[in-house]
Amino acid sequence: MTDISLRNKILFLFLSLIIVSSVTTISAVLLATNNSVEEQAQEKLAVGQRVFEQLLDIRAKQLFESAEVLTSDFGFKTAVLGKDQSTILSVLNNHGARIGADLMMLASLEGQLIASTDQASQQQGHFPFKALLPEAEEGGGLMRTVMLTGNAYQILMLPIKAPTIAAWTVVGFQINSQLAKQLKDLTTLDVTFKGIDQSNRTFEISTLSSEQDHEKFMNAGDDAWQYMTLNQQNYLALVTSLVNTEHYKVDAILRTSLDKAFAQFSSLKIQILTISSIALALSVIIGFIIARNISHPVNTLVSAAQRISSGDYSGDILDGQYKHNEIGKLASSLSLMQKGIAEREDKILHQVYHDTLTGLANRISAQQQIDRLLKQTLNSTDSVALMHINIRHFKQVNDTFGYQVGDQLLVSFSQKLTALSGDQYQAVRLGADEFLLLLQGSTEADIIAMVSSLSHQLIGRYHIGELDIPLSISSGVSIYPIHGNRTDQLLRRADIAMNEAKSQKQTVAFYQAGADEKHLKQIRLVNDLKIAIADDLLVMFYQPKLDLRVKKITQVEALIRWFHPELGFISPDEFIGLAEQSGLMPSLSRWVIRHVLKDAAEWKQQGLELAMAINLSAYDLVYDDLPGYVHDLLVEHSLTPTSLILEVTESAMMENPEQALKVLNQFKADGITLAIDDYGTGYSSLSQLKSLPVDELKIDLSFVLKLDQNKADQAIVQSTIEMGHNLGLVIVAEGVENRASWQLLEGWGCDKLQGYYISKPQSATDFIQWFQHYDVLSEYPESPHT
Amino acid sequence: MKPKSLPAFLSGLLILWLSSAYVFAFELKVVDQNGEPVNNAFVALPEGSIAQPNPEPAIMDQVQVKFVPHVLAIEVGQAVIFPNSDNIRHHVYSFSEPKQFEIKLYQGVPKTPIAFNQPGLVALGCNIHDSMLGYIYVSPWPEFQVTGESGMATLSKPTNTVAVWHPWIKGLTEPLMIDLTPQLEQNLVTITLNLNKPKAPKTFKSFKKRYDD
Repeated sequence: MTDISLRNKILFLFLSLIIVSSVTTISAVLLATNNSVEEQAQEKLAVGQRVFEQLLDIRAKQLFESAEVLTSDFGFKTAVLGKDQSTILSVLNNHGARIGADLMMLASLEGQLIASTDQASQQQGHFPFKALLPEAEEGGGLMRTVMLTGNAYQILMLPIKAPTIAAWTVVGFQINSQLAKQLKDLTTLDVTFKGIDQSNRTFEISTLSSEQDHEKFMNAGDDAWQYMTLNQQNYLALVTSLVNTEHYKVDAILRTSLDKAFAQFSSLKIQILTISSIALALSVIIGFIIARNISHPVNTLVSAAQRISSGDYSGDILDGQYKHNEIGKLASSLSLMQKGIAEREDKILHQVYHDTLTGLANRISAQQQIDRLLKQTLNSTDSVALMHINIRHFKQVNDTFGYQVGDQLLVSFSQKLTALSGDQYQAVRLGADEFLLLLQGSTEADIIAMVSSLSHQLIGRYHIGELDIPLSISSGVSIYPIHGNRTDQLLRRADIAMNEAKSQKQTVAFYQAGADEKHLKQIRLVNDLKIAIADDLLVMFYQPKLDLRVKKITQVEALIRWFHPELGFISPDEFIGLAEQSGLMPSLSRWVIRHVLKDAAEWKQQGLELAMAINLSAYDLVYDDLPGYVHDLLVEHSLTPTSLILEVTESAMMENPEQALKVLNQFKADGITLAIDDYGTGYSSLSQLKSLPVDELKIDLSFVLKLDQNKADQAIVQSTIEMGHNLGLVIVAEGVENRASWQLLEGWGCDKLQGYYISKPQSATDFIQWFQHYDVLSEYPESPHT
Repeated sequence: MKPKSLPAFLSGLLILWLSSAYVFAFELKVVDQNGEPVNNAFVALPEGSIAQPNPEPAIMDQVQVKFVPHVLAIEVGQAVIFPNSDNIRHHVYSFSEPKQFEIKLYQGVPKTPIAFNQPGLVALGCNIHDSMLGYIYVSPWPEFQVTGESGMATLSKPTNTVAVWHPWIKGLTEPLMIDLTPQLEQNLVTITLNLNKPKAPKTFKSFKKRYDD
């Protein structure tokens, strides 16, 4: 189906109806007219035929009366009953002329011709109507249409009475054009007489000019309707047989012109066609107007709908003029829909820019508002500050009291923020427990005062139902223009300041110049670290551990090193912290384990049987699958579990002791040696220490570095060694930097030493070289070499 | 036939008287094909001749636009007077072969009788009254009669042949010679005529009807 506009469809329908009805009407009228014309023509002919017959009768009467008078004339009788032929003939001529007869004959009772005005029969001496005599005798006379020598006559055969019948006389009147004309004048029909005799002599008398259809008529039946064309005219004809004997046949054909009959109706036809054409034209115009009246409002509705779809909800759908019809109803429905869409869109927009829980503006709208605010203050000396607020320990609130209470706390906090900010500030909820206040002040000092005041008011106890929850915050502040002039920059710097406050356990921290750069560097490092892990850009350094009990290097601690192609050496303290924060720790640890075990396998092949110590982070203990991974690698490299030592800090174990213990027990079960690293810096209790499945204890280097000079360190280290030994642990001292410390430690029974005095951490190649040349016994000159 | 005028009545009486005079006369009866007695039949004994015709003229009267009698028989050479008893004029004529004449419009009794010297049938008409038709039979034989309503005729002697004429026998101008031999032994000789009674005088209306048929 092709697309046809509504208007054209209506127009088409309308026109179809009009045309069909017009054509039907016109056809019906024309058909009726034609039928009527034909009926009238037939009726006219039928009437004409009756008139024609009556006229012929009347004429017959007249002829009869004339002829009878003639034959009754005594003088005529006297003359024709005489003996003199020439007298008889002259009397026939004379008296025939009196009544206008065209033919006069006299015959004896026996049918012998006495005299005839027709020359042919006179010469032949033959009475052509002898056959009619018996009938004439029977009837006392007769009247007949006959043909004689190619002409048709109406004849009367009458007796001459003297007073008995003495002879027969024939009085004939030719059927001629004059008769035809008379009949035509009276019947208004065209009259044609046609005859043919046995000698094929024909005659034709007609009021019409000429005829070509002789044969046709001769063969036609009596009283038959004939449609015929003559001289390019259409006629309806009716044939009446005047006489039909074996010798001859004469027909009268009555005709009426159909063309003339139709001509009477042609003006009617023209009128009807004209009226129909006008009606059709008017219908087209009206149809067009109606179609337009329907399609115009529909088009208006269509454009209104398009307007709505493009997001324009203003304006009326339709003018008032269609209020009460279907279009009006549709328009008002559309109007309602438009209103509904506008309302819902407002709502959605509000949701887009506002937080659903607290009703505060959200991060998206915060950015727009900051942009706007910055633009406003661009040409003034005013300062704008972003105060990024974090509710401290909010997670604990959720964990302790449930999310419902947590949400209520957030709502209360938001209400307080809103109440405090009033019209002056704008409060935004950035995320879970993070909020943002947009402050505006004339000077930096103003802003500092404001921040201070706000902080103090926000901190305090919040009443949530029956609960009374203490709340503290960490907030970071960045100030425009001194801390930046871009929205993203200011937002980030406020965040950095907030993190600073958080880590420093402060309520407020202002952004410190450079912090952002550090932050950006950290982001970069995280990204680069991912690449470094993937592309093996990290290297392992090894620092030996000296076992004092056997006076041999038995272990090495594997330490990761990162030489950044642009930033140079990156401290492990820096990037390991970042790896922990950014979730890279598992992959980093696995990289390390993989590398170290690979080196161990190589060394083993070279004949170096050294146990490898690897540091594990607290994050490595979160996952249960690490022991399996390590086990698989050991098997892969054909290494025994004793060739691996895993070092874990106190604090790492304290983060999630149960999980850590679970993982460590697994390693322990696999036969891997476990060591507590950096012992002394954490807060682990001795009871916890007792329950840990460790084998070694590494005293933090902070107690060892200045051991020779610090008495307190000496006391701590000595007692730790003693305590460790009592718990069955092997004691390792880190940070041995001089011979004095070594001697002290050895004296106290420390099992293993690690530190610069023995060796710095070195690359695998360097370490192997160093290892091959290291002679521990050189440290003991007093003892003889073995 | 009911004579309405005195002369007709008297002539009737005369005929009755004459017939009763011959007691042993030869009696004939003329009937039509239906056996009905035939009036106005001319019956004659076809023998002998008339040497001296009757000097008294016969009378053919015209009463109420009719010839009376309808058939008159006379001797050859005898004269006939045509008196007009109507108060309207008549124009009596004949185109018949034995005697052609006319008495132009007249009233009363014409002065001169008309002599009929040739035997045969003379048809009489009136030029102004087409319906009037009468016949005079001029007989060459001395013995003849015209039958009355009884159809009876009486001849003076039996005969083998009798001459009969009647106007209703179509086209008959000469008397029929009828052989009576088979009937001679019978008491009453019957002559049967085949008559065609002329139809009523034609009018246009009847003609028209016939024409239509």
